[in-house]
Amino acid sequence: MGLTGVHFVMSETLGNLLRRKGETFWIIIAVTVSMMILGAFGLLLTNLQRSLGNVGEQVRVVVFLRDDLTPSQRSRLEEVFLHQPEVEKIRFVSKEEAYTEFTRSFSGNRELLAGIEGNPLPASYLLSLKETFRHGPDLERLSRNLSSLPGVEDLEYGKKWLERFEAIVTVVRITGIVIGSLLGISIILIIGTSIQKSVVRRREEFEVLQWVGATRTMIRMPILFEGALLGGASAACALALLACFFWTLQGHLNLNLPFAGLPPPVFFSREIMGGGLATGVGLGILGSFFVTNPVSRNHGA
Amino acid sequence: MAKEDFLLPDPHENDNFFPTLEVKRVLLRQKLNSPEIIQMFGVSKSYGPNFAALKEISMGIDRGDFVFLTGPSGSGKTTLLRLLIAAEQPTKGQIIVNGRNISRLQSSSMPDYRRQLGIVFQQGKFLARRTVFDNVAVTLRARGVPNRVIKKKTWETLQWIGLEDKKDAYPLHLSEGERQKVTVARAVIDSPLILVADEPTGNLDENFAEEIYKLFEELNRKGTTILFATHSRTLADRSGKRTIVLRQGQVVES
Repeated sequence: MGLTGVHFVMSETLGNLLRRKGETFWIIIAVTVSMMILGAFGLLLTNLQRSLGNVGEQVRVVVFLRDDLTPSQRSRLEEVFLHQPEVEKIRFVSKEEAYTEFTRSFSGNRELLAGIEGNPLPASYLLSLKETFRHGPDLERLSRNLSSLPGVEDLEYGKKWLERFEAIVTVVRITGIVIGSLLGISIILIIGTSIQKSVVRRREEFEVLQWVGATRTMIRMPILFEGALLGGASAACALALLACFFWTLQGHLNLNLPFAGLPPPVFFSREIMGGGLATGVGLGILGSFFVTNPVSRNHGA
Repeated sequence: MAKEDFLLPDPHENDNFFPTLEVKRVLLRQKLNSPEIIQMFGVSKSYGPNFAALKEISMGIDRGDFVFLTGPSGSGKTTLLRLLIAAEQPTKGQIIVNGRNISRLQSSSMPDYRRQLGIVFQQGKFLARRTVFDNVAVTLRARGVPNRVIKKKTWETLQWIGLEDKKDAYPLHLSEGERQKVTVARAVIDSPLILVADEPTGNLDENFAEEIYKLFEELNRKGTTILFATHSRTLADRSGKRTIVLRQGQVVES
């Protein structure tokens, strides 16, 4: 298709949308609302994952050491820990530090502390993990490898807690996919149905184009472009409105969320916004694609 | 040369070599500017096993000719015109138009073929939400003509057809005759080689019918071949032009 073909397709597309301004407006409103729900959910998911990521930083392995460990054995162990691919950094907690921490934690329970003779707590290493290794199977593998090392008494990494944490992330993701898919389908249906209505009304128009020698592309492309424009415009409106809501609420959330142990909320990155616009355009094209097939069969010949 | 220009043997004529040979000769003659712009060889069109709309039609129409196609309702006029504009394919036989075998026209070649034609139906089709000007200009727009030329030619055509003062009106607000004039303007704006008109005056009063006919005559004088289908034998007889009469799907007079 040459430049004149592109000009024809673009002017047909814009002309058709402008000729039915009222309908175009309501379609954009309907799709914008659907996309806003989708976007709001995406925003929630993004921030939830970010919060969960923060919590994930606390995932670590505690390696308890035998009391009879010599300093040279300890430094060998330290070297082994640091050479593990999963380990980001390590911190040594001596017996004394552990006891001090313990007494501080249970300072209100004098009876308990009075019943303890000497310092029964072992020295330990706290191994912080790299982000990509903060998952159950990685932790289990690391624990298995380290537990057999000489001088290691026991290991602890909060298996149950970690499994629950991962289950929450999975549920949030699946819910996101389900809601996203349902809203995606509804957007395709809204755009598809509205374009189909317009195509039915313009049946005579397609016939005229066919008789004057318009190519299949010339008849079909404006319909696809209409879908793309409706989807893209709705996605842009949804993003703009979401941004307005977000910035209005941001001050309030910034004040309250830190108290709940959650990081301040963030809006979509430029890449995600670009992806959102592309998704809108894609859904619009998909919606109109199903309508253009019969059109090209009947009129593109 | 387009793919469909290479004739394949007609499956119905496998036992007879000569019709295909004749078609090849016609193609060659037409390429060498033969007087015949339309040729039909044993063209039949059936809808289902029990209804034959056209039976073994063979005829030729000269370049620049004005031909009436008449016959009673159901005689096959519209079917014949639909075959000529490649809206349908013949069940049997070959149709050669301006050196191109359109009985096997591929869908990708149809726009190119239809750009040589002007098509007018009894029931005019319109771009309902567009002005008269846009309805006429659409032919040139679909053919990639530059805007400047579109404006000039559309204006000239509207003047020629006498609708320049209605250029901003919508088809819905025009009379039946004016609407038909719009479809004629749209059909002729790009100076077609052949104008195919199916009962173009069928719905019009005498004055408008006369006006449309005169426009066709003027166009014909400029060199356009015209095939004018009408059930009114009177109009054809009065014109003194060549008349092809169809009855029950067969040519009974040519």
